[in-house]
Amino acid sequence: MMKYLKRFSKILIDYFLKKDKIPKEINSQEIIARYLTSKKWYSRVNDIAKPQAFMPPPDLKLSVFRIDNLSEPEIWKLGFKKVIDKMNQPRHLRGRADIQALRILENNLQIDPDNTPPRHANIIGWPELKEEQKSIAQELAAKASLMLHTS
Amino acid sequence: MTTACVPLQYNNTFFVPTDRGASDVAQALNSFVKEMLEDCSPSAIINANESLQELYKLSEECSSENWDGYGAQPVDPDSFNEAERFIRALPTTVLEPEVAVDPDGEISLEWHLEPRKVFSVSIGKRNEITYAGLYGLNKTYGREYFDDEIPKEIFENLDRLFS
Repeated sequence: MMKYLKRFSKILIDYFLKKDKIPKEINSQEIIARYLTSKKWYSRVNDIAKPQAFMPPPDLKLSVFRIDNLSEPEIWKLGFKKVIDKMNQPRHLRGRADIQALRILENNLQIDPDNTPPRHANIIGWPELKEEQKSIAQELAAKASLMLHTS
Repeated sequence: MTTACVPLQYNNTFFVPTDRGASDVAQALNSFVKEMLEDCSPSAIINANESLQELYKLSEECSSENWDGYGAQPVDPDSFNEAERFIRALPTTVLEPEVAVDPDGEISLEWHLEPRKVFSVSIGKRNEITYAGLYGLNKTYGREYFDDEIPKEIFENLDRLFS
């Protein structure tokens, strides 16, 4: 009996919290956020995200989050809980660079929605040559919107 | 009589004299050009010093693995040395670059005017420079070697950026 009650409660919870449900597949119109942990990744004066924010790490998996259907406070909470709190050393969450998925896909990159942790994805498919990575990072930064964390 | 000869391909704002000449006259000329450029543009020299200060500061801040929280490599000592040499080799007529560290530990120097007006070089070990530029709808990227002078492709791109 308890087993069925648990299953039923989970269905209810999933139903009422459906705003936290996102489709498995990436929609080209959805917004992808790159949380910014370095002050060198943006310019407050010019109100822009810099290409450095989109340079891929050595494993060529650029960590991002899917933020559609979340309110601003929820987006920041996601960044603190799933990015900052998971880091070994204390970091500041300085802001984020928001970009439409389409802008990533049109640069011949893919978005892998691994959902681990929930809403997490990796931008993959980067070229091997660093000069090409730099060029793509410049394109992505030019199309991203900077959102600064104010507190 | 000794005369100065400027190759046509370096005939732009960012021309840098080389200091390969070994004779006394060549050394004297080199010293003269250096002094003249310093006198012409004291603010640029201060700027170059600022880039170097930023380089030293970042090399400490990013000296451990995962400095960005996303798995970045620490600053590569070879890249640091090459970047220092590169900044010192920049002519005083060039605006100061912003210094940053790439996730692979290489030093990056960037000139950022607007989101679609940007040029950046990453200084790798073994004198390797990778660069990329975005000029409106046009873009370019490539790889060059930094020997005893900054490659002309870098100056051509800076010229394009500031023109």
